[in-house]
Amino acid sequence: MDAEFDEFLHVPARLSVVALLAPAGWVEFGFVRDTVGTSDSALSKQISALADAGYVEVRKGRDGGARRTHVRLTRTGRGAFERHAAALDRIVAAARTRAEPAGEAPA
Amino acid sequence: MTEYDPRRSLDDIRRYGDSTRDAYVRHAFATPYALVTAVMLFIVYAAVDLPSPWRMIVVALGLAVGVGAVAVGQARAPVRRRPSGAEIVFCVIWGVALVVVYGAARILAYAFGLPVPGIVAAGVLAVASGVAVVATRPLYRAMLRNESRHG
Repeated sequence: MDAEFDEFLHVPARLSVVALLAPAGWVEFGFVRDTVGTSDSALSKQISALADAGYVEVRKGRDGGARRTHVRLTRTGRGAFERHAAALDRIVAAARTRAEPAGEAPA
Repeated sequence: MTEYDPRRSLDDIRRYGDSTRDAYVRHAFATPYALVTAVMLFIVYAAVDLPSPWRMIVVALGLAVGVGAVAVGQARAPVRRRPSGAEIVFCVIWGVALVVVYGAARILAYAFGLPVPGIVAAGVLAVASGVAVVATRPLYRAMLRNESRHG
């Protein structure tokens, strides 16, 4: 297994949240919930786990009368995500390299 | 873990990343903001021919509309991000192109002897900004996706 593979981050429910946050700064909680296709409570649980690990930070505010919660990756979280994605890339590339010689005909 | 698992995870990472970028573009190029931008441009540029102090008052009103729209847009945005260098260049080109359209419309309005060339040119500018929003939205989305693939 690649040394930079992050078991904690690789849980699909967490990886999808972090992948959504990666291209952005602050992202609204409702957008994350709807895009991932989960419930408020399930998402809150994952975000709490990510926050406890220091991967995300949460900000609560108001827009007019509506309460809005925003989430963003911390520097630690972004670094962990980038390293994990790079590890996945290497694993896939290594799997492809192993598969290719078997398919080649002898000269 | 199977070998399919990391490949699927990478596909998910790209898909979710694109969802975020698409949401950002969808909000930034949404019709209400495009309309407010067109109205703001019309007010500000139509005011050019007004006598003082009305010119300053109307320009201030137009800019207030613009600032208000930006504030509301930012507050309600599902995705907030700092624009990249390429995005800033894109917006500068967009703005320069609109000023060129306004200048050309104004010259033509004078050439044809229209009674209120400033207002006609401001109207052309407002329509051009609406068309530009619709026309450049796919380009902007493609630029963001391309940036993510190559950098």
